[in-house]
Amino acid sequence: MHEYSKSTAFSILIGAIIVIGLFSMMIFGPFILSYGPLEIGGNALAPPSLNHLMGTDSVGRDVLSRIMWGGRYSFLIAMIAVGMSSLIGTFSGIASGYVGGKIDRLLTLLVDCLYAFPIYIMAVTVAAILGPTVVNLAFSVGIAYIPRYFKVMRSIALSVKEKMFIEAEKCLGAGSFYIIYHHILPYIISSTIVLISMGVAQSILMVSGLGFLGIGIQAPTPEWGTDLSSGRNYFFNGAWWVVFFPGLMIFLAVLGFNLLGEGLNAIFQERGVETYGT
Amino acid sequence: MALKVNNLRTYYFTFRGVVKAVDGISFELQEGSILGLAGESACGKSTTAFSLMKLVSPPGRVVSGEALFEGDNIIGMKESEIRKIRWKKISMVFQSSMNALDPVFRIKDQISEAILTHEGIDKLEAEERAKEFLERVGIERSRANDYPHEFSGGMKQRVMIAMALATYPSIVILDEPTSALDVIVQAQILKLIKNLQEEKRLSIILITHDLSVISAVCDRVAIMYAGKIVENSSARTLFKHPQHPYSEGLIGSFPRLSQPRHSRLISISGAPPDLIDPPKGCRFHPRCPRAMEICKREEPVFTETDENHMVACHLYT
Amino acid sequence: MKEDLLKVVGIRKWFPITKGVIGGLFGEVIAKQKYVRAVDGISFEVRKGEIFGLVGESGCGKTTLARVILRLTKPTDGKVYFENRDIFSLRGRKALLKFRREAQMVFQDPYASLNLKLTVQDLIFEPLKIHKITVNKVQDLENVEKALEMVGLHWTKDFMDKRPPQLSGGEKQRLALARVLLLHPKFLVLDEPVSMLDASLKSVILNLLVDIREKLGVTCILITHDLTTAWHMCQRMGILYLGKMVESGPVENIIKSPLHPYTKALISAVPTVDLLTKGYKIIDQTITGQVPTAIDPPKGCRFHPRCPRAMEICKREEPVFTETDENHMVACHLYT
Repeated sequence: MHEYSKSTAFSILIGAIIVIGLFSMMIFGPFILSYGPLEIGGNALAPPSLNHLMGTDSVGRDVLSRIMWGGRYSFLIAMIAVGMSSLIGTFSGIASGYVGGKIDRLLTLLVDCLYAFPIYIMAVTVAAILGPTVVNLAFSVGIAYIPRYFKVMRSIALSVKEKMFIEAEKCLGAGSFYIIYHHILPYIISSTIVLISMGVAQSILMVSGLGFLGIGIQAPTPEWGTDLSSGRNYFFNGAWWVVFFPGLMIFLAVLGFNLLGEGLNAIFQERGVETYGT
Repeated sequence: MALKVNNLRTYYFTFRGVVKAVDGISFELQEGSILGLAGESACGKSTTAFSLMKLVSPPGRVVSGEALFEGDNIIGMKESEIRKIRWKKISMVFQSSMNALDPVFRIKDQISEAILTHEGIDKLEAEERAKEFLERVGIERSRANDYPHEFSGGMKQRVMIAMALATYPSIVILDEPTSALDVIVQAQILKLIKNLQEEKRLSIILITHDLSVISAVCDRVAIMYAGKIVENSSARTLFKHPQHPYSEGLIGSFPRLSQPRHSRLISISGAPPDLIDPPKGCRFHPRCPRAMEICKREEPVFTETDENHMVACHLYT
Repeated sequence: MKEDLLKVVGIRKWFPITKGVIGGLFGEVIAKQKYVRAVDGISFEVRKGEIFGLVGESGCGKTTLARVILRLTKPTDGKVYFENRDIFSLRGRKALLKFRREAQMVFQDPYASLNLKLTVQDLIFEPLKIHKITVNKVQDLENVEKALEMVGLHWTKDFMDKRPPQLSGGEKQRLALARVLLLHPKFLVLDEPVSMLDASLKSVILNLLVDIREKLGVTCILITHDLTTAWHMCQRMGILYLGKMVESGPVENIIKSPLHPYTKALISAVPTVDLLTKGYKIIDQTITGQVPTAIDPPKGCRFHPRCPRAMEICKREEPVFTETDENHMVACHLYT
């Protein structure tokens, strides 16, 4: 059994715990809640109590419930965004890197333009144009992250295709698809896993960011960033729980997925598998 | 006699076990002669050289043995003492060391550095000597200002040789000096080595797996197998009358221009043994076409069969 | 006259030197496009059943030539005829695949030419998969076993699960050979098949290649920088220098009576494991300098700057490849 360094084990363990915890909370949480996220079930701005474990917000809604339901939205958008950007970015990156030539140069140019755009401004613009629905938000976040996948997968494809065994396979008679599927894909799996994990973290952060700015999920739908933003005004009046818990969740989610991603990266490296882009 | 090695043992202490890389070898290097240390990969020849220069890195270390140089045993010297010898009196050109040239420094600076580290002369004098030695190895003085990437492989190897000579050592160890080079460049380097030996009375240890290189320049040859020397004789005698079956097999596996064509080459079956658990008795017996019962039990002793011809083989005891 | 399996006519392969973004955009306006003239006009034939040697030092273009012959890269100029068909005018996947079954290559570096992530099992069955010549499990297994036996490897479950990093250099090279033999090729290019192997292993693999050729009757091109290997294995050979063939013919003729000064230098530079003389004589005849760059080769005969017998005409005109004796061809002004 391979022995990993302490920091690697730590990262993976903590990361996994947090992620699993978050997932369980999102999936099972809403079934055990006493209150719904939109339900006005208590006094406004009530501090945490047995009834409302995280207190209530400015309108009297249960914060805990809003956290759990909000998580679902954040994750949903993050998953769609990561799924979209990884699929598009990976396939185009590998194809571009492997095929090379003018197509490669054109695609790289396009992706570089996309990459040069500050992602928040782009996401804000797209969200503003299309409107802040779940799908549109996922789309705008997703677009912003395509270049990352594209670049990493392209560079892997470029370096692998130069290796001599690829020429040996071509000499045997293998066609392009065969080579990409059987000989290049094994080299991208580790990088993909790491990038996806980090990508989820980044997407959640961005969704929350958009919500915070007011162009994400709109009130009264619960969302960590939106709630954080609307809670700001009440923070200084002493209602710390309205800001603390949404902030905590964002922090935990980003931390958890980042730790998981970094831990996986370290595991791959200690095993001698190459990873890129991290 | 320039160097006398007695019973050198260097082991690597790894997790899997103790790798007996060099396991009791003895040989002499005559002054002004070229000794070839020949064998295939992992036979211990490079480790021998590192042992002499106290360059064996952990988990390896010299376990026992002595190497007498100018009356002193250089094995077991302290780092401070051996530094006076290393590169000053005994220098070494490592395998593929042409890749060890720093790409951001000029050639003349790198050679000067080697000189200045060991002598207290001033920079200009060192540079002058560097250029002198470049000429000696067949490179024009004007090229001393170039950077390594402007030199070809053969030229870089010559630079390494110049670097090894610039401190006027009495012994030079060359580890596979020509294995990465084309045959014509190889011939030029071998010619250079031979000239240096004659001009400066250098004593040289030439480590290589290529027997044809040995045949071209060496006066004496020691054949190594699995950490031991199996045969030691003059080059001419070895190629005319090899005694150890491994030597025979090795020589026979090189096609020669003088041989009839398409004759089957002698090949030695099997593979070199694991040095953590080498075969009992003679280490070569599993692959030896002439192995006898005693070979499986007892290790043969290194004995003199003819004048200056030593073999470790039961066929001769 | 044995028929020619392969006919190479006037092959040139020039690699453009990349000029970066600006250069690429403005093309010839900035500076004249420079090329690495890796192969610069080579023609020869390989007869059915023989081993033809391509001998030369690094930079002579032999590997590039091999890649052109096997259609791994397009030539800048010239044609290659395999069994009288122009391989570069083959159209369609079927025709290409057929060519790939008949003409194969064993690469020089056994450490680089196998995908490290695949198991021996995957690797050995790959040729069958790619060419869709699988029959059924039993028959395939038999064929694979036969191929492995032929190269001296044995089928064991243990061995099949290994990956290239766990195999020795010799085992890797044998595996590469077995993969190629599964296709029953008519023609094999062996690119320095033993240069990266240990001495005792070299002879084993060379003996193996001789056996294979005898048993299967495969026509081979053996690429090597080592004259003694070519002497031992080949019937005819061509000597390459800086992208051109300077001499070609039966191996015995060339070694016993070399014509081109470069050939003579190569022969005299070989340190032989044979000491009737002391061996110094061999070294004394070397030429000086090293192979010049293929980007801007010398005008006239490419060898003239290093040639001990260069004449005025050598600096101006390139010599033509002409036949001097039977089948012995040389490109040198000394003989025209």
